[in-house]
Parts: sequence; structure tokens; C-alpha cells
Amino acid sequence: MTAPLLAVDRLVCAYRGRDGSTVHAVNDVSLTVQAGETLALVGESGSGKSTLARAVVGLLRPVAGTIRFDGLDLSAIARRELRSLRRRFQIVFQDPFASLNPRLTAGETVGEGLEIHAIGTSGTRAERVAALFSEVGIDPARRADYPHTFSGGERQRLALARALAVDPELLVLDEPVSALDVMVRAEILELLARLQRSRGLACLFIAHDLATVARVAQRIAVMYAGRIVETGPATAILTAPAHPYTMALRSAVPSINAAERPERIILRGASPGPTAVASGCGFATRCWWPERAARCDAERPELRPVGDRAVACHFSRES
Amino acid sequence: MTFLDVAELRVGFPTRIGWTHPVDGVSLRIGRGETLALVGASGSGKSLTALAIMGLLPRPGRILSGSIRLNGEDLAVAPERRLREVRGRSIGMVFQDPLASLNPVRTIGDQLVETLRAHDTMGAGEAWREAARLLEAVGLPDAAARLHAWPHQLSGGQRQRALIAIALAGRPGLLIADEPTSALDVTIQAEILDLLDQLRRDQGLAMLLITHDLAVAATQADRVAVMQAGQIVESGSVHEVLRHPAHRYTAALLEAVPHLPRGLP
Repeated sequence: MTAPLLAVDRLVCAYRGRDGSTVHAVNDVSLTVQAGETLALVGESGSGKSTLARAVVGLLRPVAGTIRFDGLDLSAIARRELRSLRRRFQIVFQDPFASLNPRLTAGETVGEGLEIHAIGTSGTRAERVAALFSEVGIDPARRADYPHTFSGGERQRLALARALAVDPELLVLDEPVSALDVMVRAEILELLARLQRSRGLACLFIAHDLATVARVAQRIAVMYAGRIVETGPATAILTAPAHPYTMALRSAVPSINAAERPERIILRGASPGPTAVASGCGFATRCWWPERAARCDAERPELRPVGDRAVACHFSRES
Repeated sequence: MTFLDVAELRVGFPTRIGWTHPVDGVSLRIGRGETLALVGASGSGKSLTALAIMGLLPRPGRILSGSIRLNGEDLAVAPERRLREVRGRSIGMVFQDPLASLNPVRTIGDQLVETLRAHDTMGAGEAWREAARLLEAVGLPDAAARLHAWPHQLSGGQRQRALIAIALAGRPGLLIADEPTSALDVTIQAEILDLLDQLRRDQGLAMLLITHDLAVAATQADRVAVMQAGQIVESGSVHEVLRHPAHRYTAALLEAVPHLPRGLP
């Protein structure tokens, strides 16, 4: 196996709470993304997935652990080097109404990265921006229009074009379709899958449900209360989830076809969120498995290989 | 028995070049104990249809023609004073964003009691007891203590439960739920949908569920009406519409629902 494009190792990210306490939003998380591959990171609000995304693109400094891009440790390299490295990974945010500068035209928005990284001349830049517009399915004639004249789906296409302008190798997508309608969502996912193929892009795709990532991900990592609880090939996780939390997530996906609909698993109680439990399994408070035992409160389950995947549960076994 | 009967409803907004009709000849019926899902993309007019039914159309929009019969009474021509009685008393509403729908500077109990006493001649003590009972009915854990909680102290799912309790305070016959779970995590979404379904069964509510997700409609509704550009382009039993979509737009909506590989039992 070749060296991964992105390698996150034992990452810890923390916030200082208002009362002075420390909240560990990401706790001991390791993951890799190979070149050209899409890894989906799935979890509910407060599970730490967006914090992880921000740390990966350098918007947030981790407390411990390393993030390597193409073998280079992001925390160890010089500022200037980091700047040129940043061109190789880009982020797309959830809310296309908040992430585009309302005072820049669509063309300026997409071309900004080219200027910052001094790519091309002003003439070739204009050409390149037009090509990017076509690539994401927006008429280049609309270059001079402002963001407010674009719909939510079109804005997300612009955000994608902006990210793609500098020819990145990795895209970090933080809930890129959550704010969109079902139909627009399907269009954007289709576009993403196409771009991924044509450009050989690697993606870290963050989502709060399994339905969204089914079309785009090769591998899935499920996060709960700051830790990864299950990770493995997408098809395996979607067809036969092994962790009780993943099972609940899977069962929550509404389906058109009654025969495809598994029994809905209703989780009791609320997520502990980032105020992770000191000892024991983070999911223990909501676990619905009959096997659940005193051990779950006392001893934290490590991620361990179970068949074709890794699961953090004392009681998961190969199905 | 039909509880809500909307016929040929037309809503207009004046513009510089004449009237536009975001709701253009909509007809729908819901019986007691029945859920009708109104499905469509954003901007299709489904939320405006709901607002028209409740008499809450934003100005300068207004109902141009058609009727909205609730238990026989035509709300389209009812005076505002009567509509205020109807809202809460006969129609309960739950919106998408539970944080925006609750008053942030008043406790959950205050807001429930206010609603209860607005519709009933109820003493304060009785109202507080009824409020606790309602919170319990919507499955809020530790209901009595939650009466004194502020909205920000509840999670998203708990807030939505509190809102449902407020919507039910006037014992309405019709519950309108406008994207009630779109802002929630998927596992919480499943909980809230289950709760709504249970309330419909137990209280014989007529339910109008507004959603852009055909899959949500498929799991919740008896009948579905698909809306596009202000008009209902197809309606029928969930089974029939989803199995044999007659309209191209319905087929496109169906196409957009992600299909997951089938899970093991």
C-alpha cells in the first residue's frame, strides 16, 4: 500500500469551556485518506467531526497528535512551506449563504485563490475561471453576478469551483449538502462523484447521516462523542453495521421501499456530546444492546479489528 | 370523515407587474387520524399553503379564491378574531427550527401555561399540572423538572418535543408539522417522527406533514400530495404514488432519494 495522502494520528482537539473546564471535542482520533479516495466521516452534532475538519485544514491547532499531508507534519513545517502546501488541500463548508463573500462577484470568488497563490497571468486566470464555471455546471456568463443572485445549489457549486481553482489533491467537505433540498442534494452529490473521478480527487466528506455518503464514499468512519466507533469499507458498514450506534444510524435512514426499511432503533437519552466521559464507553449511556454490562461503564473499548473493519465495542464480533 | 378540506386555494402576492400565485389552485383533504404528506422542493408553495390554512400569510399576500373548510367551517373567509381562536385551539403547528420558535427569555413551563390559559379558563395550579402532563406525553425525560428549564438548556430534540407539547396544549384536531425534523440529527429525527405518529394514533389527529423528502413521507404518511410551482401535480395513497409515480416531477423526486444497500435483519 502506498503512503496515504492524509494521515491523522492520535489527534486530540480541545476547547476551553466558559467555566474554565476543558472540552475534548476530538479524542485520540486516527484516520487516513489515500490519494483519489473518499472517506466519509459520519456523526451527530457535537460528535467532533467539524472540529476534526478544521484541524485538518489548519484552521484550528490540535492539542496533541499529528496531521501529515503527503508525509509532511503540518505542525512541524515553516509558515511559508505551509502556505504552499495549503494549495494542495481545500475546504468546502456547509452553508453556501455564509461561506461566499457577498461583496465579491462569482468570478472574483472563484478566481481569488488563483491570485493568492499567484497562479497564471490575469488573462489566463479569466480563462481558467470560465473553465471552472463550466466544470461545476454554471454558465460562465454569470461571472459578474453577485452571490445573492444564485440559488443554494448554485452557491455550493461556486464554493466547489473556488476550492478546485488551485487544483487541490484533497477536498475537505464539511456537510456540503446538508443545507440543500433533496433534489439539489442529489445533483451536488452527482457532481462531486464526477469531479472525484475526472480529477482523481481525494475527499474527506463529513456528514451527519449515512444516506448522504452512500453515493460518494469508499470508506466510512463513524464518530461518536469525539471518538471513532466504527470504520471500514462503505458497503460493509451500510449493509451490516457492527457497532450499536452505527446500527441506530443505519436504521434511522428513511426509505421509500418498506421492504428495505429495517426496524427503527430509537436511542434513549441525549448524546454526551464533547463533554466525553472520563472512563468507559462514550455510547454506554444510550446503548440499547442486551449485552451491555458493567464493563462498558468502567473500561473504554479500543478500536479493534472485527472482520473487514475496526469497531470500538467490547461486544462486537464478526457477523 | 374529512376534517380539513381545502378546495381550489389560490394565494396571491402583488408585484410591480401584476399578481403572482405561489399557491395556485391547491385542493387537499385530511381525515381524522390520517397523515397527509405535502412534498415538494423549496419554493414550491408548500409552506405558504400551510400558512394560508392557519391565516398567517405574510403581507401583502392574501387568499384570492378557494375555501379552507375545517370541520365544516370556511377559514378562508373567517375574520382575524376567529382565526386567532382557531390557531392553537383547532390547529396546532410545529415548525422546522425549534430554537427560533421558542421564546428564549421564558421557561418552557411559562410558555406552555400561557398557551393553556389562552384557550381555557384554567386556574394557574391546574395549568401547571396540565403542562407537566403534556411534557410527559411528548416523552421529555424528567418532565416536571423541565418545566423550569430555559429553551437553551434543552437539546434540539428536546426543544422539538417541548414545541409539540405547546402545539397540543389547545387540544387541536389538526396538527401542521412544517419540516419538523429537518434541523435535527438523524437518530433524533427518527424519535420525533415516531412521537408524531404515536400522537396521531392516540389522539386521532389529522396531520399535515410538510417535507421535501419523499422518504420521510413514505415512512410517515397515509397519503401524499406532490407540489410543484404552486400546484399539486400528483396525489394519492403513499403506496400508489411511490410505486407508480404518474408525474415526471414525482419520478424525479423519487430518483433523488438515496438508495442504501439493503441491511441485514
